[in-house]
Amino acid sequence: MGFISTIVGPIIAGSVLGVCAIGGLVWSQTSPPSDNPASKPILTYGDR
Amino acid sequence: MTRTVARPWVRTAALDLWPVLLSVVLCWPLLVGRGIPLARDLVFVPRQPFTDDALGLGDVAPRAVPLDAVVSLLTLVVDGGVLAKVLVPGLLALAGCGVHRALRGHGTVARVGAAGLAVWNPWTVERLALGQWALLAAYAALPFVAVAVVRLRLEGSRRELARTTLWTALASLTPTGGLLAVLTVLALGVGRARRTWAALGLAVALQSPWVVAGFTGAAGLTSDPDGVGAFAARADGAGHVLLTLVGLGGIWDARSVPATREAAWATATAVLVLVVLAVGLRLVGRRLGRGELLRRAAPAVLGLVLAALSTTGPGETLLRFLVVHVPGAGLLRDSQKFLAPYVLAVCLLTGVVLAAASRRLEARTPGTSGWLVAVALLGPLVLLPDAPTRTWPTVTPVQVPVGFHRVADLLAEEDGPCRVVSLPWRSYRYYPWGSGETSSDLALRLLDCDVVADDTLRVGDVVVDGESALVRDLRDALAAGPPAEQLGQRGVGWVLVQQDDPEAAALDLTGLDQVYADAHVALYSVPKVKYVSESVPMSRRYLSGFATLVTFLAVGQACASLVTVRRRSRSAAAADEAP
Repeated sequence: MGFISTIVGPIIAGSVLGVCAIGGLVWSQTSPPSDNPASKPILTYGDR
Repeated sequence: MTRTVARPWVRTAALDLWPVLLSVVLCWPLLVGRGIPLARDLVFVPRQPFTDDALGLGDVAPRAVPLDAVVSLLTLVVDGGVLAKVLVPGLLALAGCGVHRALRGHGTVARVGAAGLAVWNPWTVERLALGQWALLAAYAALPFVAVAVVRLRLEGSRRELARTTLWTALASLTPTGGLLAVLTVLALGVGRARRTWAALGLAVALQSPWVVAGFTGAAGLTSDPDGVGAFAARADGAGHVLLTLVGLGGIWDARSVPATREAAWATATAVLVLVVLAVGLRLVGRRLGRGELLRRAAPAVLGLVLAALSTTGPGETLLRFLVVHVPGAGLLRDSQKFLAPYVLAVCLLTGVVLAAASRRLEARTPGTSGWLVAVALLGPLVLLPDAPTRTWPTVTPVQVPVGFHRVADLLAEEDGPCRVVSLPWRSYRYYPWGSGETSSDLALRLLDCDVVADDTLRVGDVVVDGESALVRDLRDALAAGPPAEQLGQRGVGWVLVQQDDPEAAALDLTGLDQVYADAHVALYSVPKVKYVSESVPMSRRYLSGFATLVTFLAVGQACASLVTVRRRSRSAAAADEAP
């Protein structure tokens, strides 16, 4: 019992919560690009 | 009642699963999609040819030496798309595996927490979002280098010397990683034993491919000083840039920063890291002593100082001076990459703090410390919940149109010198059939030719010049007249036109002979080419060959040494068991 409450339980709880948190956030924030970067005259390596 | 105690290797393997799971999440689209990754700096091609650039003999700065040569070798036997699926998540997971191995004896909570943080933290996520997988290879190798070299100093065994050499070789796939590994060996390893000096010598010898390429190459050894400001660390959120760096973030590129870093999360991470540093350093100092602590913290402190240097006025002035006047100092641009040892140190200290907290909780209320595992598992995810929103677009693989492969085949059939100019003239491209991200030019890695493309980097409004004299010459020539008139006399026999580019229609291609064309790519041959006899002098080829030989000898000797030591210990064990 001790093994389940101290090791297995927390691992399962942590994994489930972690996967839910990631899944939810990614689902809510991932969206296709709103514009086509090729329409811009200059393509940048990055932005500051 | 008896309780089964897992064998150490079973336990270690079980602990490996957490960093593997996290890296799978960060690289998910790469693992499930078909094709090759082609975004930002992350470019793999199905079969990467051996070109002079890959060997450091080309006209560009040896930033990917010997990395490109190693990838070329690997793609001889494995498709580049498959290789990316193994290497990118594998190296990321390896970092976590190395960190928890370094914390052997500190308990499950410490090892799981530190391993997770090593994979899922702002630095690794931002670097992966920028596509710099080779830097992650160095990051993954560093904990193994550190453990091996400390053991070497304490035990002086041949096995640890070999291990140090092999892990240093992995880190040294790029000049930055090589520098970090040499620094780690120097700070943590050098002691009275002769073998520790041998380890340092071998670590330095492993840098010979890019050092030789840099000093004998045609590319300038100095860089554009504007790159210092353009690639300096920046604050992820509203806080000060130093606070961002302490909190493991601060990459120069705003597009690689997850949205939550812009908010209070970045500050919360920095505050937590400060607490971990305060408590962890005290705990470690008590155990190891002040001298040893200073020695082990040296690479991390130096990394943090280097990363912060370009963010201060005097620091930026100093770096600009170095970049212009000191050969090879261009490596110090984008200084936030040097945070790698600091990030690893924070992960290890997090493990130490979690172990101490677990012991204290267990002493107070037995049976409750297990819940700390949940905290250790969740911690990195809560602090950076939207990491995949930045890594997924970069790692999403794409299917390259067949025309590019047709062009590659056509050029591969050509005998004699082959020099191609990639047009329209720009360094970073947007492929409408791609992942939606800009990427470095596909032709640079795909074609078995000397491909010349613009090496100017545009960061927002800042233009950072490249180092290649040939590129400068061709840029001026193309500005002066049409390709058919300008390129032949400069030894350029082919023009590759990337038809998807919005500026492709404006190119003046009169006088060029079309060899292949489709909607995405076209290949033209240039009439009246004045071939340059041999672009790379033989002396340079010999020197480069010698540097490669030194590297192979160092790695080969280390492998042989490991095998010999293992055989000897096996036969000694067998002799002990014999009646």
